[in-house]
Amino acid sequence: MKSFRPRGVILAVSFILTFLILMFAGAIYATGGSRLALSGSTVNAHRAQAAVESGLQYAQARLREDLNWRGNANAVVVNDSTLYVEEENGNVVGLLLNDGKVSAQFRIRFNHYDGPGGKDQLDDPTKLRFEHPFVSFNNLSGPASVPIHRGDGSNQEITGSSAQVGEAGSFTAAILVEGRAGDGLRNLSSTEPNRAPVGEVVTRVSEFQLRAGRNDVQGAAVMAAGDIIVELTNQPKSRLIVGSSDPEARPTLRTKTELSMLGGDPSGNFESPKGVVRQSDDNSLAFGVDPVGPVDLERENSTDDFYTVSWADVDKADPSTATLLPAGTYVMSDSGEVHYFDMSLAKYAELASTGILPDQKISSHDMSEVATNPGNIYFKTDGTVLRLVVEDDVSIKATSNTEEFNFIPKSGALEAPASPTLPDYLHKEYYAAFEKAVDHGVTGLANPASPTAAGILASIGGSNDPALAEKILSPIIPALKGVAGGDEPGKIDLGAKTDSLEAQDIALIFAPRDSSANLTNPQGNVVLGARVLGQGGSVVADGNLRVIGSGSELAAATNPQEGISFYSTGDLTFSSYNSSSTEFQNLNLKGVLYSQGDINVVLSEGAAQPGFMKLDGAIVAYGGDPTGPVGSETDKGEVNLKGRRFELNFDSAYVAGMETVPTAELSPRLRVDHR
Amino acid sequence: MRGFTVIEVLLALTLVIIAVLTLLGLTTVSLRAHDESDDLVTASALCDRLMEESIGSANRNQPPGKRADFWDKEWTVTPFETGQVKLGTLEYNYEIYAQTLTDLTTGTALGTQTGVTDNRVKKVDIHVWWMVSDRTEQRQGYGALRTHQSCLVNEPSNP
Repeated sequence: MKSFRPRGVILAVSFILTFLILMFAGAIYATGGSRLALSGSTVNAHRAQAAVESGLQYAQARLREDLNWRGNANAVVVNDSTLYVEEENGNVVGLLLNDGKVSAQFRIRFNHYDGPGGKDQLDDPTKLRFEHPFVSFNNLSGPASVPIHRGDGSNQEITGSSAQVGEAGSFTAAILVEGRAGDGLRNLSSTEPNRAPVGEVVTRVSEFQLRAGRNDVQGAAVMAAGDIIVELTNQPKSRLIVGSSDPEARPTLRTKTELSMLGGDPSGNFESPKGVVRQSDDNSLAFGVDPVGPVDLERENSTDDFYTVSWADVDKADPSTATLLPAGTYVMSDSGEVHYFDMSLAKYAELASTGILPDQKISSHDMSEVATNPGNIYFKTDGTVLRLVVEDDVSIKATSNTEEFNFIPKSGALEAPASPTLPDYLHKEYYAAFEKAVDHGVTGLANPASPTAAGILASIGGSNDPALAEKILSPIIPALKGVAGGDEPGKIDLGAKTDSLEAQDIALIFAPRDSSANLTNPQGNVVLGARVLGQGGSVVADGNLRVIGSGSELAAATNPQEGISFYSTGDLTFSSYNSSSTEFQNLNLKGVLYSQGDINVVLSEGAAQPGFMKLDGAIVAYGGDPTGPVGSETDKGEVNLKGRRFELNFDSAYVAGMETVPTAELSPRLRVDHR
Repeated sequence: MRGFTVIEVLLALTLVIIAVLTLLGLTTVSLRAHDESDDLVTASALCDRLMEESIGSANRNQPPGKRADFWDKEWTVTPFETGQVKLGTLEYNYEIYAQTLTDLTTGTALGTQTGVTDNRVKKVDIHVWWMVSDRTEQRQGYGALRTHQSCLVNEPSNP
């Protein structure tokens, strides 16, 4: 039998065999490559997770430094051969470097991308805009919970309809950190730390909950970082009376230095049944304090907490929803009109005498000629009283000419009767202004050792920079004019025009549509030369706040956060002098008077009939920025009370959200990994 | 009967031999890649473990003095910790370095600008290498037999 084998079959078979072997070899090789790539990914995943942890550690350190930190240093914070960290308007980026190359990156976002004046009160970042929706919320100082939203808008912004994914409870922070690692980060550098990656990147996102430690605050009717100085008229029942509406809270005064008193009822000028004075010296009361009945003394330590309400935490008008009024001087006149002047009060007083005033009459009752988003504030005439009625939040917007908000009768409001000498509180304020002026290079102002009001006013024009001097002294110029006297003591010289309207003839009235209404000047001083009346109202100023020329009756709203009725980052001054009756009006307030500077209540001066003050709530003169320790600012934090009688009744209803202060001890941590 | 030609057989044999050799070569490379990959993953996990152990013991002050040693000194030239760990048949070498970070905005240690104590931040770097005597050394036929990990650490409050 013959077999047939065509030529080349062996070769063909060997070709096929070779091809199969090579395919097999290729597969094995590819497996090895994939395995290496997989291990590279695993390593990058470890590094990304380490970057997440690094971001958390960075945030934790910053928060322990400042409980209100939100990535808002707006600076390069760390830049060395191993690490680069930059913060811009709430967004933080960190590059972890190894041998000069970026090995991992962390990013933390607090910004809502809702523009300037949005809810986050941060401008949008330009360099560090992260295209991810994971937004952190810092509520470490907040006594009430806040909702947590994702940036789920079309540009990762938080919108009004963004879903709530949880909440940051009281005194907690939700910190979301994104960590990334991989070759794709190789194009990042300190000049472009947020560039889009090119190539493979492993991303990890974790959410951490940090909780601040808490200290309970010893409640008190008055808390002062400096002295509490009470100057009373020598009349029967002329006393400082300290009480408490809370049966479990003893009537208490707290000062880091001491309580001192002058004058008052000869049979006793200080009444505080079952009360306690906490001061630095717990052995004896200062000379001049003459208690009616026993009063306990306790030691006040410098580190003991006060109620802590920082500028970031105080309830303010939200510019995105509030009615916006331009800063300036709002003047009411006999004719029942409101005129707006885009200038400071000092400038208005200067131009009024020359008669050269740019006139802007407001005819619409909702002030729509000047207001943006009107509807929350109205003016109306009610009999002989001209009223400015605040029904909801109003925020002041600085102009190119001024940051002040002044509401006065046309010829101004007096702070005190004419006097040959400067009242103590004005002397102290002048001293502070003088030092500030010197720091800014102003020379030629009156010697602060023993000035007269007239001398100070004259020296402004004679200084080397009258405009700057006037700006710095602006908050007390009206008061100085009042004290300096003249043909019409303290009145603004209207030239040939006259106007008889007084502070007591006009009123700022809070009549909230809901539970509360807030008038906020987020950039400057506020002067209210009018009666301030109503329920549920509060006035907030990032500067000095003066309520002058008339009495006030204002009750703050009580809410879970705070029941502040007046808040200032500078000094808070009440002076109720009524020039037409030459008497001081009474003050009747409910809520918390809170100042980062001094608190002055002037209800008597010279021969004028003195007034009295009744307060249900608390007075706090923190003496510095509340994000720092009590009394951090030198020579600030005094409470000066001058009048016939002061009834200060501690009411815990207004301090419900302040009874606990957070501490920098952050714990525990709850961690949730998002991807 | 017609047999194979010598040329045909030689050509077929050559092809098969080349293919088999290629297979063997690539298999060797692949197996080495597998090993390298396993070693890298192991080393990466080891980085995390050693970093955690080292920082943890420093913060717990175990042994006594280690906390102050770690937080008060700079470990940028001399390693804070160094050693070997044997896993399977392989011995991994490691060095841990740490440096205190400075806040450029204040010129002070990061975390201390408001006078807060015990709040410094260190950047900790761990380097792990294997099968070579020095972490900068390359081994013929292998890639980089080393890895690293970096992390920031916030100083805990003093107990």
